[in-house]
Amino acid sequence: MTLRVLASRLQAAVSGAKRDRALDEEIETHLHLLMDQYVRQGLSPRDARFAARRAFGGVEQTREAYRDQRGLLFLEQFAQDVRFALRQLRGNTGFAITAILTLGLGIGVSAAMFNVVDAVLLRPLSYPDSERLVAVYEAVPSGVAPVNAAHFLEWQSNATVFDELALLNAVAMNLTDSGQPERLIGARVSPNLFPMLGATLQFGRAFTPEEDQVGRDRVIVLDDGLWRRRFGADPSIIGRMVTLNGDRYEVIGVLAPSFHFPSFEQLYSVPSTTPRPEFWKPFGLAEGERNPIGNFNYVSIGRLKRGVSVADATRDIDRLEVEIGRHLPQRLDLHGVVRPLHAQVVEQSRIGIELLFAAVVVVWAIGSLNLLNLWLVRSLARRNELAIREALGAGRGRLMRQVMVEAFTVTAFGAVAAVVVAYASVRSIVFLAPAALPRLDEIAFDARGWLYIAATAAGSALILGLVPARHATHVAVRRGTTEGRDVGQFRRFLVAAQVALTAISLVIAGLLLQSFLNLLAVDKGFVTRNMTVVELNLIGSRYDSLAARAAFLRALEERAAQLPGVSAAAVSNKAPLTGAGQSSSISLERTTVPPLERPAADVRPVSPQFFATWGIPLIAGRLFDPSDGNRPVAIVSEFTATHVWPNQNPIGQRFRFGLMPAAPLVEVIGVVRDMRNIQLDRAPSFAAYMPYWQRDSQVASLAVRTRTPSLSIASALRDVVRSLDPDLPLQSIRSMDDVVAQGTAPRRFQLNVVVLLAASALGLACLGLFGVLSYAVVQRRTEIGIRLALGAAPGSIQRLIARGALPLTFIGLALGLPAAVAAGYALRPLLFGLTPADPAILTGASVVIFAIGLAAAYVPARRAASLDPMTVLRCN
Amino acid sequence: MPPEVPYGTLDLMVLKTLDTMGALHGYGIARRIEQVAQGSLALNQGTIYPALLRLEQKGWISSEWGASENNRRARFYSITRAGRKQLAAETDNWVRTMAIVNRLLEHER
Repeated sequence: MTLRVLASRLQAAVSGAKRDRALDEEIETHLHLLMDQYVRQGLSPRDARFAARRAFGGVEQTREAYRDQRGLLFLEQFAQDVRFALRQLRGNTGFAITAILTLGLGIGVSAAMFNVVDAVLLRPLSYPDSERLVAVYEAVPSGVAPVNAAHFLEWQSNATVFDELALLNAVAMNLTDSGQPERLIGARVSPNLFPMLGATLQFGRAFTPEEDQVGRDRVIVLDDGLWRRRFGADPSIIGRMVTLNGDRYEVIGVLAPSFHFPSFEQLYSVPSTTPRPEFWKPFGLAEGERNPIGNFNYVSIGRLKRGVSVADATRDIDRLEVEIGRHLPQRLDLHGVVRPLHAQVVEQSRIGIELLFAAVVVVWAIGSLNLLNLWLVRSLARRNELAIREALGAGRGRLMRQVMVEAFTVTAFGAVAAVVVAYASVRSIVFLAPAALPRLDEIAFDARGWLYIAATAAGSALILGLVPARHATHVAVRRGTTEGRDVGQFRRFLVAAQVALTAISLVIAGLLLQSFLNLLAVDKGFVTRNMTVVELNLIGSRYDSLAARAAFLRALEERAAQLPGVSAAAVSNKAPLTGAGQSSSISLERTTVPPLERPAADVRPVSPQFFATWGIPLIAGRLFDPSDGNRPVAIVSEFTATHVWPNQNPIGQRFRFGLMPAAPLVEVIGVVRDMRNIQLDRAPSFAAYMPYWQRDSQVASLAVRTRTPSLSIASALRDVVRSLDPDLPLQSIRSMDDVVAQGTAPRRFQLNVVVLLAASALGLACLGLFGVLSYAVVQRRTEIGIRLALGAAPGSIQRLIARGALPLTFIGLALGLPAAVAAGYALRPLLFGLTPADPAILTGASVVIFAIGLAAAYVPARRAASLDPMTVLRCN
Repeated sequence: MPPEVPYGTLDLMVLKTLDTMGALHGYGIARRIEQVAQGSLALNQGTIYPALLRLEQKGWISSEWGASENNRRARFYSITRAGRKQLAAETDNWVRTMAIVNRLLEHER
C-alpha cells in the first residue's frame, strides 16, 4: 500500500464521506447527460445506457483516482506543514531549544520515576500467580510478631486455606575457603519455597524434602550474584564443597538471574536491617527451635488456594492460633495476621517513592507551564500573520492544522530527547538509590516507559496545539498588537499556578530538611566522636562455648585498648545503630503479667568498659566488675527502670529474662541513661545489659575511641584481630560517623532529590515570572512613556512594575500554602520532630517566594525605568 | 488506436476549455475536448474528475453547484485568475517546446 493511498484513506476517514457523495452525484449527472446525448443520436435507451458507460469509463476507477488525488493533497499539505514548522524552529533556535529541553527533561525524568513507581509499587511480584502469595505473622498483645516454628508446624498440618506454606529465616555464615574469609547472609528455607515462587535455576537442582533435616541439610544453592562475585561464574560449580561456619556444604544449584527475592528487612514484621540472602539452605529445624513459647524468629510465606481471600486465610490462621494459645502451658492470647506478599514488601517504601514521583511531576508541571506561556507569547506575535492568511482565503481548519503540526513537531523532538533522558535517569536512579529500596533489581527502562513517553508527548502536543490555536486564530485583523485581555489573564493564571506549585515544593523540601537536621541533632544518648566500630562473627570450632568467646573478647579488648592513640575500647554484641541485637522479655520474680504482655527488652552482652567508652552516664548503682563472676547481674536503662519498677528503687530487684519460670534470676546492679540503640528515629525503649561473660552472642563488636580522628586505626584493629585469630573474617570496620550516615542514607537520598527538585522549581518559576513581567513592560510602554514624560521618577516606575509581581505571588501563595500543608500531612510518616504546619517553614517559603518575585521583577523594572519617553510615544 | 491523453496535457486542455467556454460541468468539458480533438483522442470521460479536483486543489479553477440541462445537480467549474496566469504560462511553454522539437526534427532530415 503506497503512502499516497494510505494518506487518502486517512483523509477519507477524517473528512471524507461528504465529498465522495458529491462526486457520486456528479457522476450520476454526467452519465445521464451522456445517455441523453446517445438517445439524441438515435440509440435506444438501453443501448444508450451501455454506450454512456463505455464512454465514461470505469466508475469505480474514477472514484478511486479521485480519492487518491484527495489523499495526495493531505500528504502534500502535511509535508508542507512539517517543513514550515521546522523552518520556524530553525529561525527561532532559542525558543526551540528551550521547548525541546523542557519537554525532554520534564517528560524524560518523569518517565524514569514512573518506571520506578511501576516496577516497585504497581507491578505484581515476579512470581507466577503472585496475587495468591501471602506472608503470615503472629499477633501477640504487644503487636505483630514473627513466626514461631512450632506454631508454623501446626499451621502446616491443620490450615485449610493454603496450597503451600513455607518457613524461612535469615542466617549469617562465615565462608572461609579460597580467598578472604567473608560473612554472608543467607536464608534457611522449607524445600517447597522455590517451587512456590517458581524459582528457576540455571544449574543444578533445588532441595528435596529429605534434605530438610538436621544432618542431611549440608547443601546450598547459590544466588546468581554470589556465584559470579565469589566463584567466578564457574559453570562446574555443582558438586563443589565449600566451608561455611567450619562445616562442609555441597553446592547443588545456582539460581537464575531472573529470580528476585526481597530483603529480610522487608519480610520481617519488626524493624530489621538484614539484606537479601545470597545463598540458600534447607531449613533443617532443630529440636531446640520447636519451643512453642518464645523464639518468634521466623518468616512464613504461603500460597493461598484458588478463590481464597486474605480475609478467609486470616480467619483460618486465627482459629488455629487461638487453639494453640489455649493449649500452651501458660495461656497466651494469640492471633494470626495474613498480608499479601506484595504489600508486605513494598508498603514501607510507598510513601517515599510516591513523594519523589509527585515532586518530579510538580517540577515538570512548572516547566511545562513556562513552555505553554512561551508558546502563547509566540503565537500571539504571529497573530497578525495568521489573520492576514485567513483573510486571503486560507481555511481556518488549515491554519489550525498547521499550528497542531508545529506543536507535534516540537514535541516529537522533545520525545526523542525524553527517551535519552529517561534511559539515563533510570540508570542513575538504580545506581544511586539506597540499597534498601524494595525490588531495586527489577527497575529498568522498559516498554511501559516508552508508552508513558509516547502518551505524555501526544498529550503535550495536543495541549500546545489547541490552547494557542484557540486564542490565535480567533481574531480580526484590526485588533493590532495589544494583547487580548483574556489571553493576558490566562497567562497570569499560569504563572500564579507555577508560584503555587513552587510554594508546595519549597515547603515540602523545608519540612524534610528540618526533619533530617532534627534527626541528626537528636540526643542519641551516646557519643560518636572519633569512634571506630569493628563487627565480627564468632563462629566455628574455636568459638564453641561461651567461655571461649568470652576469652577471645577479653583479649581483644585488652589489645585494642593498648593501641597507640586509643583512649577507650569496649566489646559488646552489637554497637549502637548497627541493627537489633537480642530481644528477651523481662519477667519479674513473682509476676502476674501474662507472658506475652511482658516488656521485650533489647539485651546486650557488654564489657564493663562499654558505658565509659560510649559516654553513657551511670545514673544509679554500679557497673559490672569481673568479680561478679557467674552471678547473674544486669544493668538496666532508665526507661526500663521507670517502667518496670515505677516508684521503686530498681537496684537489688530481681527478674528473669524470657518467659520460662525456670530461668535463673538476675539482679539489677545499676541504671544507665537511655540511648537510641537501634534507630535514630525511634525513641529509647526497654534495654538491659549483661556482662559478656554471662550472656552469649555469636556476633560481637569492638568499639574504640581514638584521641584524634585516625585513619590508620582500621588497619591497626585488623592486625589485632588477625593476631588473635588469622581465620576470623571481619564483617566490617567503620567509623561511627559512617554508621550514622549509612543508617540515614535513605532519608538523605530522598532529601537530596527533593531539595534538587525544589531548587529547579524555584528557578523555573522565577523564569516564568520574569517572562510575564517583561512582557507586561512591553505592553505598558505607552503608559510608562506618558508617566515618564509627565515627570515620574524612575524609581516609581520600577516600583510600579515590581508591584505587578505582587498579585501573582499572593495568589500563588494563597493557593499553594494550604495545599503544601495538606501534602505535609500526607507525608507525616516521613517527618521527624515537627508538624506539617510548622510556621517557621511556611514563613520561610513565603519569604523565598516573595524574594524570587522581586528578583524576577528586577530586570524588567529597570528596563521600564530606563525607557526614553520620546521614543516610546513617537513610535506608538 | 487513438493516442491516450497524457497527464499534464489534460490539465492544459481543461484550463483552455474553461477559459474559452466559461463555466462548464464535467460532461460539458469532456464533450468539448472530444469535439475539438475531432475523434482523434480517446478519453475515458471519468478521468476528468480527478483532474478537476487537482486543478481545484491548486487553486486554478473554482466550482459551484448548479442545475444541468436535464435538471440534475452538477458542479460547474470556472477558471480563476491564477488559473488564467497558469494557462498563459503553460501555453507559452508548450509553444516554445514545440518550436524546439520541430527544429530538431527538421535538422534530422
